Amino acid sequence: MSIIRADKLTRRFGDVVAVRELDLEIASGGVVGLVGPNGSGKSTLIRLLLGLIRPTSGSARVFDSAISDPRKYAPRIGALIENPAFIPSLSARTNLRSLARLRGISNARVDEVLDIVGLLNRSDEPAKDFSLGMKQRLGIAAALLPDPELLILDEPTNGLDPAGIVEIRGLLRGLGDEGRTVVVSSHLLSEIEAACDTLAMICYGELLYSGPLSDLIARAGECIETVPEHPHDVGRLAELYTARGWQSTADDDHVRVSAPDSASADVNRAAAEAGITLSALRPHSISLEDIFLHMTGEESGDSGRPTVYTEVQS
Amino acid sequence: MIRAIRCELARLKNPYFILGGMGLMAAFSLMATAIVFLTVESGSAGGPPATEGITLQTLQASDGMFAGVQGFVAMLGIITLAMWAMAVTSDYSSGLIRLLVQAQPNRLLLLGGKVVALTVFTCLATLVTTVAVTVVSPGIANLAGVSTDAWNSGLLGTALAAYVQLTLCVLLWGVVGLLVGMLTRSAGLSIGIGIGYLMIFEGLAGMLFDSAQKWLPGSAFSAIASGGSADMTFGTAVLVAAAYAVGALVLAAVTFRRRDITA
Repeated sequence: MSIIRADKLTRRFGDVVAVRELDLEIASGGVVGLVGPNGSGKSTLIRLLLGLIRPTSGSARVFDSAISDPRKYAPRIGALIENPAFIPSLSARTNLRSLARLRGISNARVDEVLDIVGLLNRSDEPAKDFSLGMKQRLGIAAALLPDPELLILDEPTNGLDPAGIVEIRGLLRGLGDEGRTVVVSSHLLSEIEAACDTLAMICYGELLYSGPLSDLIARAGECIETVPEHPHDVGRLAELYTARGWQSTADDDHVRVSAPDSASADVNRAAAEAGITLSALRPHSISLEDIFLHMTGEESGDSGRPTVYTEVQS
Repeated sequence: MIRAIRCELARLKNPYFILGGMGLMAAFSLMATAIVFLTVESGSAGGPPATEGITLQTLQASDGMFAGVQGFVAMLGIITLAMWAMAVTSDYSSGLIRLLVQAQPNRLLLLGGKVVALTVFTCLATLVTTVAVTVVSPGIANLAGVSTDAWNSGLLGTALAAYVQLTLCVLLWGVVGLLVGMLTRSAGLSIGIGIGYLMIFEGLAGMLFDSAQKWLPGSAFSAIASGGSADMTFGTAVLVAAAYAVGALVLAAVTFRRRDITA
């Protein structure tokens, strides 16, 4: 069952198209990563889904209700958008209580969420005295207040120390495993890779990929990095592999062969038969970061037009 | 609506807001009272009094203790305008508006809660101001040599009437602050516009058009604080001010309802 469905969703700000005819479907349950370079339209998409801004054209539904009337689904959503926002002079508890009152939530729930994010012992301190990481935790606590079925978090680990990142990742995974849907927008691709089941990648407001993270990585494939003993053999080695039907890329001192780990022996044997001795042969898994940089055209920092995977999953 | 009011009231417990709003209003009222009482003699002796139209007889009348506040009520209005404008603009500058609108997508309820909470806060601020002036002004009058014999007759009723008039007047300025804050989303700009309007525009309009004092909002608000003026009866002032207030509230509501939350 889809919890979010966008159909040709478009939002313009003057001449800038922040979200362009976006078709997106996010299934219920699990942790979903929303990734894209700066200015790709992630925050605009989140604001559209929360009813903070209106689409220029197209439509979207959350919990099967149109985003034109967010009152129908707002009580089922918790969100942290961009930086956590609080009244600095009020304590963490008072800040959350004021939000709890607005949602008709009990004060007991306030203490519960403070405990979940590890701020219960500091809850009477003014928010202005909090570190960036603590403010982030407070923001997550505010998002958790309504015990949401859908949690949307924009850069939730921003400012957290490594232990905090692991803790929040565990929290998000736990929420996802409970059957809730957690949408996480983050620049930390390693975090997305570690925490998410599915992924939506957008760039220039367009959807590049949507579907299981494992499928994307599998589709991008694995490769084997081979290093000839003599660097002048790099070109010959690459030609050799290409002739054998493998896609290969020559670099300064090594050749990358698009082949699974299981083909390592064949790759080594082919080099040996051609009289080339390999000084190293290592399987190389393609990371989400590699895929992201390739797909968004930022591989060489050129920010060119993105690569759209032909089989965008829904 | 009750939830929105409770949320706003909790947020107004901010000590900076309480001290900056209630404290400033009370302190300014006492200062205005002292200035008017201490300069009234120079006015009658030929020098310029602090506030035009306030004479020794005015101060010695049964409601004389509030003459200072009524003479400088426009400045109290500006303080209230600033408070209301800041209550709106700080939501945008801090990004809180994202949380609030997400938690309560019915923006009219949110705005209504804010208006009610600010009204309660303003009523408390003017109560503190009225009590402070009532308590302190006899001492100031004594210091200035102004007779207070007439003040004791019907003191409670006089104080109550002054409180209601002052509260109505500053609430109207507050509504203007709400609108300007909503339109500009900048506290500084809102206060600048408020002061600029009061000090420059309304003064110029009054000089250029004789009838301007009968329909401009600042004049109407001040006439309410004084229980009526030479240009406007209290009833007329209330009607004119109510029209401005309703217009401002409708415009603020339409703006808030339609605006994108990009903060």
